[in-house]
Amino acid sequence: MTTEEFKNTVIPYSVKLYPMLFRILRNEEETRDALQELMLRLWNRKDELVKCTNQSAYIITMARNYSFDLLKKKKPQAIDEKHEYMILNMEADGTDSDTIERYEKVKQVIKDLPEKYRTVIELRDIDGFTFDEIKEITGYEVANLRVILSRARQKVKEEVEKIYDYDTSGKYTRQIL
Amino acid sequence: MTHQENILDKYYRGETSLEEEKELKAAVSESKTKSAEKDIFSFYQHEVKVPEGLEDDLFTGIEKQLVKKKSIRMQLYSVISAAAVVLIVLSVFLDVRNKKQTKLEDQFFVMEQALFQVSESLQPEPEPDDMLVLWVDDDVEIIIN
Repeated sequence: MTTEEFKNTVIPYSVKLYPMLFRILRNEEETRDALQELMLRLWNRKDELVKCTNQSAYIITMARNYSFDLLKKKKPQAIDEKHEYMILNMEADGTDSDTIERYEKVKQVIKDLPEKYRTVIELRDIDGFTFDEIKEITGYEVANLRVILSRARQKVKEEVEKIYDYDTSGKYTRQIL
Repeated sequence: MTHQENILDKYYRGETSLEEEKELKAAVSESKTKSAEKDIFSFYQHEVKVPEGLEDDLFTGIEKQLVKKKSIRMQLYSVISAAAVVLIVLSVFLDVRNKKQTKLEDQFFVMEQALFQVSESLQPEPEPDDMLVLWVDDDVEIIIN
Protein backbone atom coordinates (compact mmCIF):
# COMPACT_ATOMS: atom_id res chain seq x y z
CA MET A 1 0.00 0.00 0.00
CA THR A 2 1.46 3.35 -1.03
CA THR A 3 1.09 6.51 1.04
CA GLU A 4 -1.33 7.82 -1.58
CA GLU A 5 -3.52 4.71 -1.31
CA PHE A 6 -3.40 5.01 2.47
CA LYS A 7 -4.49 8.64 2.17
CA ASN A 8 -7.44 7.71 -0.01
CA THR A 9 -8.66 4.59 1.75
CA VAL A 10 -7.72 4.76 5.44
CA ILE A 11 -7.38 8.45 6.36
CA PRO A 12 -11.06 9.20 5.51
CA TYR A 13 -12.07 6.97 8.45
CA SER A 14 -10.69 9.63 10.76
CA VAL A 15 -13.82 11.74 10.16
CA LYS A 16 -15.99 8.96 11.56
CA LEU A 17 -13.58 8.01 14.31
CA TYR A 18 -13.02 11.56 15.56
CA PRO A 19 -16.36 11.96 17.40
CA MET A 20 -16.02 8.50 18.96
CA LEU A 21 -12.56 9.28 20.33
CA PHE A 22 -13.60 12.79 21.31
CA ARG A 23 -16.39 11.36 23.48
CA ILE A 24 -13.71 9.47 25.41
CA LEU A 25 -11.05 12.18 25.62
CA ARG A 26 -13.17 15.37 25.64
CA ASN A 27 -10.23 17.38 24.35
CA GLU A 28 -9.51 18.36 20.76
CA GLU A 29 -5.74 18.17 20.98
CA GLU A 30 -5.75 14.81 22.74
CA THR A 31 -8.25 13.46 20.21
CA ARG A 32 -6.04 14.60 17.31
CA ASP A 33 -3.01 12.97 18.93
CA ALA A 34 -4.95 9.78 19.55
CA LEU A 35 -6.14 9.69 15.94
CA GLN A 36 -2.60 10.32 14.72
CA GLU A 37 -1.35 7.42 16.81
CA LEU A 38 -4.16 5.20 15.53
CA MET A 39 -3.35 6.12 11.91
CA LEU A 40 0.34 5.35 12.52
CA ARG A 41 -0.57 1.96 13.95
CA LEU A 42 -2.69 1.30 10.87
CA TRP A 43 0.17 2.42 8.60
CA ASN A 44 2.57 0.08 10.40
CA ARG A 45 0.13 -2.76 9.76
CA LYS A 46 -0.57 -1.81 6.16
CA ASP A 47 0.66 -5.19 4.90
CA GLU A 48 -1.94 -6.99 7.04
CA LEU A 49 -4.52 -4.41 6.02
CA VAL A 50 -3.94 -5.04 2.31
CA LYS A 51 -4.45 -8.79 2.77
CA CYS A 52 -7.77 -8.22 4.60
CA THR A 53 -10.95 -9.00 2.69
CA ASN A 54 -12.86 -6.55 4.88
CA GLN A 55 -10.58 -3.55 5.42
CA SER A 56 -13.34 -1.53 7.02
CA ALA A 57 -13.84 -4.18 9.72
CA TYR A 58 -10.09 -4.28 10.34
CA ILE A 59 -9.87 -0.50 10.79
CA ILE A 60 -12.96 -0.37 13.00
CA THR A 61 -11.69 -3.24 15.17
CA MET A 62 -8.33 -1.53 15.63
CA ALA A 63 -10.08 1.72 16.49
CA ARG A 64 -12.32 -0.07 18.98
CA ASN A 65 -9.37 -1.77 20.70
CA TYR A 66 -7.47 1.48 20.72
CA SER A 67 -10.41 3.34 22.26
CA PHE A 68 -10.58 0.66 25.00
CA ASP A 69 -6.88 1.31 25.67
CA LEU A 70 -7.59 5.02 25.88
CA LEU A 71 -10.46 4.43 28.27
CA LYS A 72 -8.18 2.40 30.54
CA LYS A 73 -5.46 5.05 30.46
CA LYS A 74 -7.79 8.02 30.75
CA LYS A 75 -7.76 9.54 34.20
CA PRO A 76 -11.25 9.89 35.64
CA GLN A 77 -12.25 13.47 35.00
CA ALA A 78 -14.55 15.24 37.39
CA ILE A 79 -18.01 15.80 35.92
CA ASP A 80 -17.78 19.51 36.66
CA GLU A 81 -14.54 19.73 34.72
CA LYS A 82 -16.10 18.06 31.66
CA HIS A 83 -19.17 20.22 31.96
CA GLU A 84 -17.11 23.39 32.19
CA TYR A 85 -15.08 22.37 29.14
CA MET A 86 -18.21 21.72 27.11
CA ILE A 87 -19.79 25.05 28.01
CA LEU A 88 -16.59 26.99 27.23
CA ASN A 89 -16.22 25.17 23.93
CA MET A 90 -19.78 25.95 22.86
CA GLU A 91 -19.59 29.55 23.99
CA ALA A 92 -16.49 29.93 21.85
CA ASP A 93 -18.53 28.59 18.91
CA GLY A 94 -21.05 31.41 19.41
CA THR A 95 -23.80 29.06 20.54
CA ASP A 96 -26.44 30.88 22.64
CA SER A 97 -27.22 29.83 26.21
CA ASP A 98 -30.69 28.45 25.36
CA THR A 99 -29.21 26.17 22.71
CA ILE A 100 -26.40 25.12 25.08
CA GLU A 101 -29.04 24.21 27.65
CA ARG A 102 -31.03 22.21 25.12
CA TYR A 103 -27.91 20.36 23.96
CA GLU A 104 -27.10 19.52 27.54
CA LYS A 105 -30.58 18.15 28.15
CA VAL A 106 -30.36 15.93 25.04
CA LYS A 107 -26.87 14.88 26.05
CA GLN A 108 -28.10 13.94 29.51
CA VAL A 109 -31.04 11.97 28.06
CA ILE A 110 -28.62 9.98 25.87
CA LYS A 111 -26.24 9.52 28.78
CA ASP A 112 -29.08 8.08 30.90
CA LEU A 113 -29.96 5.46 28.29
CA PRO A 114 -29.03 1.82 28.96
CA GLU A 115 -25.46 1.27 27.78
CA LYS A 116 -26.24 -0.71 24.63
CA TYR A 117 -28.89 1.82 23.54
CA ARG A 118 -26.46 4.68 24.16
CA THR A 119 -23.60 3.03 22.30
CA VAL A 120 -25.68 2.18 19.24
CA ILE A 121 -27.41 5.55 18.97
CA GLU A 122 -24.08 7.40 19.33
CA LEU A 123 -22.35 5.25 16.73
CA ARG A 124 -25.20 5.68 14.24
CA ASP A 125 -26.65 9.14 14.81
CA ILE A 126 -23.49 11.00 15.81
CA ASP A 127 -20.64 9.10 14.15
CA GLY A 128 -22.60 7.94 11.09
CA PHE A 129 -21.33 4.34 11.04
CA THR A 130 -23.08 1.81 8.82
CA PHE A 131 -24.90 -1.10 10.44
CA ASP A 132 -22.11 -3.47 9.37
CA GLU A 133 -19.53 -1.23 11.01
CA ILE A 134 -21.59 -1.00 14.21
CA LYS A 135 -21.87 -4.78 14.13
CA GLU A 136 -18.04 -4.93 14.05
CA ILE A 137 -17.77 -2.59 17.02
CA THR A 138 -20.55 -3.96 19.22
CA GLY A 139 -20.89 -7.56 18.09
CA TYR A 140 -24.70 -7.27 17.74
CA GLU A 141 -26.38 -8.66 14.63
CA VAL A 142 -27.78 -6.11 12.18
CA ALA A 143 -31.42 -7.11 12.78
CA ASN A 144 -30.89 -6.73 16.52
CA LEU A 145 -29.12 -3.40 15.97
CA ARG A 146 -32.12 -2.01 14.10
CA VAL A 147 -34.39 -2.94 17.03
CA ILE A 148 -32.01 -1.43 19.59
CA LEU A 149 -31.65 1.73 17.51
CA SER A 150 -35.41 2.08 17.04
CA ARG A 151 -36.04 1.77 20.78
CA ALA A 152 -33.19 4.12 21.63
CA ARG A 153 -34.44 6.80 19.22
CA GLN A 154 -37.99 6.58 20.51
CA LYS A 155 -36.76 6.70 24.11
CA VAL A 156 -34.66 9.81 23.44
CA LYS A 157 -37.59 11.52 21.77
CA GLU A 158 -39.97 10.65 24.65
CA GLU A 159 -37.54 11.88 27.29
CA VAL A 160 -36.77 15.14 25.47
CA GLU A 161 -40.49 15.77 24.99
CA LYS A 162 -41.04 15.24 28.71
CA ILE A 163 -38.52 18.02 29.47
CA TYR A 164 -39.75 20.63 27.04
CA ASP A 165 -43.40 19.78 26.44
CA TYR A 166 -43.53 20.44 22.70
CA ASP A 167 -47.37 20.42 22.63
CA THR A 168 -48.48 17.63 20.31
CA SER A 169 -45.52 15.31 19.99
CA GLY A 170 -44.19 15.06 16.49
CA LYS A 171 -46.83 17.40 15.12
CA TYR A 172 -44.43 20.27 14.44
CA THR A 173 -41.80 18.10 12.87
CA ARG A 174 -44.39 16.72 10.49
CA GLN A 175 -45.45 20.29 9.67
CA ILE A 176 -41.81 21.14 8.84
CA LEU A 177 -41.57 18.12 6.59
CA MET B 1 -48.14 11.04 4.16
CA THR B 2 -45.30 12.92 2.44
CA HIS B 3 -42.02 11.35 1.46
CA GLN B 4 -40.21 12.97 4.40
CA GLU B 5 -42.90 12.01 6.92
CA ASN B 6 -42.39 8.51 5.68
CA ILE B 7 -38.62 8.88 6.24
CA LEU B 8 -39.26 10.10 9.82
CA ASP B 9 -41.34 6.99 10.53
CA LYS B 10 -38.66 4.83 8.97
CA TYR B 11 -36.10 6.66 11.12
CA TYR B 12 -37.93 5.70 14.31
CA ARG B 13 -38.21 2.11 13.09
CA GLY B 14 -34.41 2.04 12.51
CA GLU B 15 -34.89 1.39 8.81
CA THR B 16 -33.44 4.52 7.20
CA SER B 17 -30.21 4.58 5.24
CA LEU B 18 -27.40 6.99 6.19
CA GLU B 19 -28.29 9.19 3.21
CA GLU B 20 -31.95 9.41 4.26
CA GLU B 21 -30.91 10.23 7.82
CA LYS B 22 -28.60 12.97 6.59
CA GLU B 23 -31.37 14.50 4.52
CA LEU B 24 -33.88 14.25 7.39
CA LYS B 25 -31.51 15.73 9.98
CA ALA B 26 -30.63 18.64 7.70
CA ALA B 27 -34.29 19.42 6.96
CA VAL B 28 -35.36 19.32 10.63
CA SER B 29 -32.32 21.16 12.04
CA GLU B 30 -32.72 24.07 9.63
CA SER B 31 -36.36 24.70 10.58
CA LYS B 32 -37.26 27.51 12.96
CA THR B 33 -40.07 25.61 14.67
CA LYS B 34 -39.13 24.05 17.99
CA SER B 35 -39.51 20.31 18.25
CA ALA B 36 -37.87 17.39 20.03
CA GLU B 37 -36.37 16.22 16.74
CA LYS B 38 -34.89 19.67 16.07
CA ASP B 39 -33.16 19.69 19.47
CA ILE B 40 -32.00 16.11 19.09
CA PHE B 41 -30.77 16.43 15.50
CA SER B 42 -29.09 19.78 16.18
CA PHE B 43 -27.28 18.19 19.10
CA TYR B 44 -26.11 15.32 16.88
CA GLN B 45 -24.84 17.75 14.26
CA HIS B 46 -23.01 19.75 16.91
CA GLU B 47 -21.39 16.62 18.35
CA VAL B 48 -20.16 15.42 14.97
CA LYS B 49 -18.14 18.57 14.27
CA VAL B 50 -14.71 17.56 13.05
CA PRO B 51 -11.86 20.13 12.98
CA GLU B 52 -11.12 21.56 9.55
CA GLY B 53 -8.24 19.99 7.68
CA LEU B 54 -8.14 16.99 10.02
CA GLU B 55 -7.45 14.48 7.24
CA ASP B 56 -4.63 16.57 5.75
CA ASP B 57 -3.07 17.09 9.19
CA LEU B 58 -3.13 13.37 9.91
CA PHE B 59 -1.60 12.55 6.54
CA THR B 60 1.13 15.16 7.06
CA GLY B 61 1.81 13.58 10.45
CA ILE B 62 2.23 10.15 8.81
CA GLU B 63 4.59 11.60 6.18
CA LYS B 64 6.68 13.32 8.88
CA GLN B 65 6.99 10.06 10.76
CA LEU B 66 8.06 8.27 7.58
CA VAL B 67 10.75 10.90 6.88
CA LYS B 68 11.91 10.62 10.50
CA LYS B 69 12.09 6.83 10.27
CA LYS B 70 13.95 7.07 6.96
CA SER B 71 16.40 9.51 8.51
CA ILE B 72 16.96 7.21 11.50
CA ARG B 73 17.44 4.28 9.11
CA MET B 74 19.95 6.30 7.06
CA GLN B 75 21.84 7.25 10.23
CA LEU B 76 21.89 3.60 11.21
CA TYR B 77 23.21 2.63 7.78
CA SER B 78 25.94 5.32 8.09
CA VAL B 79 27.03 3.99 11.48
CA ILE B 80 27.03 0.41 10.19
CA SER B 81 29.01 1.45 7.08
CA ALA B 82 31.57 3.31 9.19
CA ALA B 83 31.91 0.31 11.49
CA ALA B 84 32.36 -1.98 8.48
CA VAL B 85 35.10 0.26 7.03
CA VAL B 86 36.92 0.32 10.39
CA LEU B 87 36.62 -3.46 10.59
CA ILE B 88 38.01 -3.97 7.09
CA VAL B 89 40.92 -1.58 7.68
CA LEU B 90 41.66 -3.22 11.02
CA SER B 91 41.58 -6.74 9.57
CA VAL B 92 43.88 -5.72 6.67
CA PHE B 93 46.28 -4.06 9.13
CA LEU B 94 46.27 -7.11 11.42
CA ASP B 95 46.79 -9.43 8.46
CA VAL B 96 49.79 -7.42 7.21
CA ARG B 97 51.24 -7.33 10.72
CA ASN B 98 50.68 -11.02 11.12
CA LYS B 99 52.42 -11.78 7.81
CA LYS B 100 55.33 -9.54 8.81
CA GLN B 101 55.70 -11.36 12.10
CA THR B 102 55.58 -14.77 10.35
CA LYS B 103 58.31 -13.62 7.97
CA LEU B 104 60.49 -12.57 10.91
CA GLU B 105 59.86 -15.88 12.64
CA ASP B 106 60.87 -17.72 9.45
CA GLN B 107 64.07 -15.68 9.18
CA PHE B 108 64.88 -16.33 12.83
CA PHE B 109 64.30 -20.05 12.31
CA VAL B 110 66.71 -20.11 9.33
CA MET B 111 69.28 -18.20 11.38
CA GLU B 112 68.83 -20.59 14.29
CA GLN B 113 69.32 -23.58 11.99
CA ALA B 114 72.48 -22.04 10.55
CA LEU B 115 73.90 -21.32 14.01
CA PHE B 116 73.03 -24.81 15.11
CA GLN B 117 74.92 -26.26 12.16
CA VAL B 118 77.94 -24.03 12.91
CA SER B 119 77.92 -25.09 16.56
CA GLU B 120 77.61 -28.74 15.53
CA SER B 121 80.67 -28.39 13.33
CA LEU B 122 82.64 -26.90 16.22
CA GLN B 123 81.81 -29.74 18.66
CA PRO B 124 84.55 -32.49 19.19
CA GLU B 125 83.89 -35.93 17.77
CA PRO B 126 81.71 -37.94 20.13
CA GLU B 127 83.13 -41.06 21.72
CA PRO B 128 82.12 -44.30 20.05
CA ASP B 129 79.05 -45.84 21.52
CA ASP B 130 80.42 -49.39 21.73
CA MET B 131 82.98 -48.67 24.56
CA LEU B 132 82.50 -50.46 27.88
CA VAL B 133 83.70 -48.42 30.82
CA LEU B 134 84.67 -50.71 33.66
CA TRP B 135 86.36 -48.30 36.09
CA VAL B 136 86.94 -44.60 36.29
CA ASP B 137 88.59 -42.66 39.13
CA ASP B 138 91.13 -39.86 39.48
CA ASP B 139 94.06 -41.98 38.50
CA VAL B 140 92.73 -44.96 36.56
CA GLU B 141 90.28 -45.52 33.69
CA ILE B 142 89.49 -49.07 32.61
CA ILE B 143 87.77 -49.13 29.22
CA ILE B 144 87.15 -52.06 26.88
CA ASN B 145 86.58 -51.31 23.13
